[in-house]
Amino acid sequence: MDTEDYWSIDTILAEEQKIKCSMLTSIHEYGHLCEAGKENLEEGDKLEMPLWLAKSLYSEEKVDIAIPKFFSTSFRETLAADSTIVLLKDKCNYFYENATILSEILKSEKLKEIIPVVHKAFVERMRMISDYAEGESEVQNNNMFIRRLCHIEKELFVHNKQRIKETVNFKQQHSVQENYGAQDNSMRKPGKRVRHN
Amino acid sequence: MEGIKGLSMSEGEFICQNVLIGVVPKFSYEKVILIQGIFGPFKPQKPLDIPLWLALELKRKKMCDIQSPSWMEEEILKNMIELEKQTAETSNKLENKLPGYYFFEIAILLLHHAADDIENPVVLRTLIEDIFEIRKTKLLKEMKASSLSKERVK
Repeated sequence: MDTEDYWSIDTILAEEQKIKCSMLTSIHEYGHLCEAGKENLEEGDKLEMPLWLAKSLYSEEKVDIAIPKFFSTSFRETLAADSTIVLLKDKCNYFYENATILSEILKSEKLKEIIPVVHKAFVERMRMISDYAEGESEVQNNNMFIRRLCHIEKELFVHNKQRIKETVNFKQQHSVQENYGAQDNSMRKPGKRVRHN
Repeated sequence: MEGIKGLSMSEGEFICQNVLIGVVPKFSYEKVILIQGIFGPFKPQKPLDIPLWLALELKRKKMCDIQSPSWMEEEILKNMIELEKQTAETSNKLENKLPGYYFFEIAILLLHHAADDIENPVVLRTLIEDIFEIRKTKLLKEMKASSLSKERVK
């Protein structure tokens, strides 16, 4: 995922995440973003907007972004305690992408403390994913495992499983054949009947 | 995720067949001009180097014998296993270096198609699978240890 890439579909989807913000200036005739029937946005109004919009308005200092739940200190402590059991999908499906973007744009220094925790959580969860990828298929029936994974983790899991299957298939298809070529009928003249043993 | 997926097994198998391998033809033919270069002329019993894909095709049609590469020997492979067991992480040092980026693919293809040109193919196959397993465990351990980088150092 490249958060700088304008065309990256993953980033586009990730930036749809709604973030709570509060207005720092007023904007005429956009009151409907806050609640129906309101005419203008005044300073101090609280509303939800997608991250891509909050990002540009924040850099122009027109809104202030409230720290979302998946970035708060209490969530940080949950992650630090045991990252592998956290249901990232429910918290924020594009957790890592959003964490990256928010940590880059938000000016508060306190937020930088969450970065090492997220990093460690990613590595620990990858450990878990690679273990499960090599495991037996009964695991797939265990929905709880897949439900924990956020979008990027699910893709990596599926990718892992596929590669492992490909490697096993390759090895099986290319077993050592000591009598290779003895039964090769590909060069027989057309018309000649081939005897299958 | 868009750029991260890398080569699949069949793509790797395809690309690895560009390497050159020694071959002893059983036929004669003049020089062939391929995209990769000019190969030939083919004279019976005169060894020459050709791309692996061509060698495997000719082998399939029983038009040549394949010379097994220098590293395809029991002693050398056993040495590699010893070296791998001694170092805790995969390293790129000269002694530890695998003979080629597509080592596993080439070895398995050769053992499958040209088993009659290689000594002890079954033993070699087990050794190669051992090397694969050892390196895989080392790589997984490295990944789980601390860093996030997933580079496959071959």
